[in-house]
Amino acid sequence: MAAIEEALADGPRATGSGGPPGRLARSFRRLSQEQVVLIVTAVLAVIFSALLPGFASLENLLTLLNGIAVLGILSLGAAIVIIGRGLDISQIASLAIGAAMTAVVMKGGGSLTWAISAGLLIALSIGLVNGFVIAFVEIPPLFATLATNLLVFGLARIFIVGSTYIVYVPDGAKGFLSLGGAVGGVPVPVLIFFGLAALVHAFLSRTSIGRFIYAHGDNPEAARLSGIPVRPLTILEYVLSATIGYVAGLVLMAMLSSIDTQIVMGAEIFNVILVAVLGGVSLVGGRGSVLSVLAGALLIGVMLNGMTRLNLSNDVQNIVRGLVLMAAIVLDNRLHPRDEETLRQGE
Amino acid sequence: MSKATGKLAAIAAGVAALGFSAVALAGPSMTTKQLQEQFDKDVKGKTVVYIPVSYSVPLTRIWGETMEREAKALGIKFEVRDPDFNTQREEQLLSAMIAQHPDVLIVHNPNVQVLAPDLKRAERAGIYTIQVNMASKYKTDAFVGVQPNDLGMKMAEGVVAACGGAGARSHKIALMDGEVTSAYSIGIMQGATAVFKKHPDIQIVSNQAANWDSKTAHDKAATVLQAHPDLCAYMGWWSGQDVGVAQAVKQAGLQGKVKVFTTGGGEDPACDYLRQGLFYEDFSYQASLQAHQMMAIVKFLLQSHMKPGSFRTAIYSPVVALTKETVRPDSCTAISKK
Repeated sequence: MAAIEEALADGPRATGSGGPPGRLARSFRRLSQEQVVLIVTAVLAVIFSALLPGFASLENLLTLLNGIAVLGILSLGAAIVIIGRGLDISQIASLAIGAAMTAVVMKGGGSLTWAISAGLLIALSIGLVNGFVIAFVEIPPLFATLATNLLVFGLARIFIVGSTYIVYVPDGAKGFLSLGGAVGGVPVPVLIFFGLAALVHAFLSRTSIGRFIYAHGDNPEAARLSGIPVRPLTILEYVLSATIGYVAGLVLMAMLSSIDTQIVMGAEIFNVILVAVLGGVSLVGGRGSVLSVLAGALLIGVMLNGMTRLNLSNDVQNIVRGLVLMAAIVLDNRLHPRDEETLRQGE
Repeated sequence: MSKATGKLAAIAAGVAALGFSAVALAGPSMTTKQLQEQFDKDVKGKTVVYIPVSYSVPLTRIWGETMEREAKALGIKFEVRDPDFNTQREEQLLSAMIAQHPDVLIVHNPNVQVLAPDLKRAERAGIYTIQVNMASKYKTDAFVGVQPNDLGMKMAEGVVAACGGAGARSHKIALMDGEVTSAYSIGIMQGATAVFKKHPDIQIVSNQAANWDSKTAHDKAATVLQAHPDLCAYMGWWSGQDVGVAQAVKQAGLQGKVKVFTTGGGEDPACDYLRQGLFYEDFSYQASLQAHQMMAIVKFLLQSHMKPGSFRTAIYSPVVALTKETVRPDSCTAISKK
């Protein structure tokens, strides 16, 4: 910890004066944000392990991962959009309304395939509308997705969900509910999270479309001039975000055997964006990776699990969470000071 | 005293009181026809406006739909205004309603403070005002609802009965609060604490709040179950939230071992969860019964010709403990699709 403080004390001064920074500070400077967050997470995990017997067990690790699986999946989708310099507030609508549609079809006696297709159709429509409005009508993503979020919620309440906001999965849907179960002791939501993380990682880092998304976020104008079809790419980003949101919705609904559509009007989307941004997916676009999402989600998971086990009150938990998040952001800011490039991008 | 003799004594006392008051007051003698005419004149065609905190909660739906059916059958106009969890909008709606001047207002308070001035104004404007379940600090003509303190005591007694004896799995229990600062939560906690104090063998290993959210409840319960797999019982404050606790218990392979205690108005899916053994005991305050009680007090107030705001009455809701064995087909109330 003292080393970090030393590095902090050295950091900005060194930049400001132009003098040679210390060796330690230089090695810290080289750390990426996700590495910083992983270090903070590890420190917290060590503290909790010392305080709480059984914290450092495999079973607890799986419980912890199960708790952040839905949040992590959502953040994977959010990361794709944010890397492309966008924002998707309506992702929770894809989660809740897509899943609710699936439950409603199952309740009506429809097959699982039909139920999932119907839910997916809703998510795809949300993604397409978002992408179209942002790419072609050129509305800023914050406003466009905020509007679709409200629109979808209102329409769904009238035409899909019915009178009350919670939709329950019928008891007969055993196959579907196994999504919330475990295979060989490992919870299925955790498997889905890691499987999806691997897929998104391969997509972003190994395919040309994935690299185009980075180029799009880094400098949209340059991306367009170099021949990348920026508008269709934008639509793809939002469709992926909505689809991944829908997958998270299915997992959440299987875990609780119900879906609370009121979540659309809540603040869950900020937790999702927070996980991504915390781990280093910068809101200016073009930065961060799937590792950022994993690091951010893990930090949230360790804090949630440890503090629940310590039986801290919600207020104390909020204070600790706020302080740790603030510390991670300040640390990042000092290790990676704003430069000409980020200023130019309007940060 | 057994239950049956208790009931008999109560009936006898009631009959005696009625007889006594008849002699003492000698109310106006009335034929059946006159009584019906009085009802038609005072009650029929009158307007009742109901303002819940949101009309998309199962509980407020059960109240609304049950009252609406009864009102319709008796020729009373029944209207709902839905602020959809927006406190400011609820205050505006209530203000607007006072100007519109219905005969009776039924209000569901979001907290003890915010609607108090409007409730006072409603009474001054000559509107009978009833509050349901969540009382304002300003009391009006009637309150229909649950006594959280009493509910907390009953739930805690149920938990003690299951986890206090020598045969219990362990004496460890965990609590899943809703929102710690709500009057409802504070009342339940007070009642429960009073009972747990008398049973020092009961060990509360966790007391967390889930803000009425089933996902939060699920994740917190999963963590607590991981740390205390020998837990005897989980006690939560609302069935809609405690669905998450029950699922966490099931996923931990502890169904039937860790007993989930909950409470609510008998809304879905509480009864299904009881039948499946996911909930062990549900302390229901029977929302449909509350709705009928509200309509009874509406009819009484309209025929009483008392000045609105001139008296205060409380109709506390009886709490019934439902288990897998005692749950009946009509213990929960279904809600219409639209």
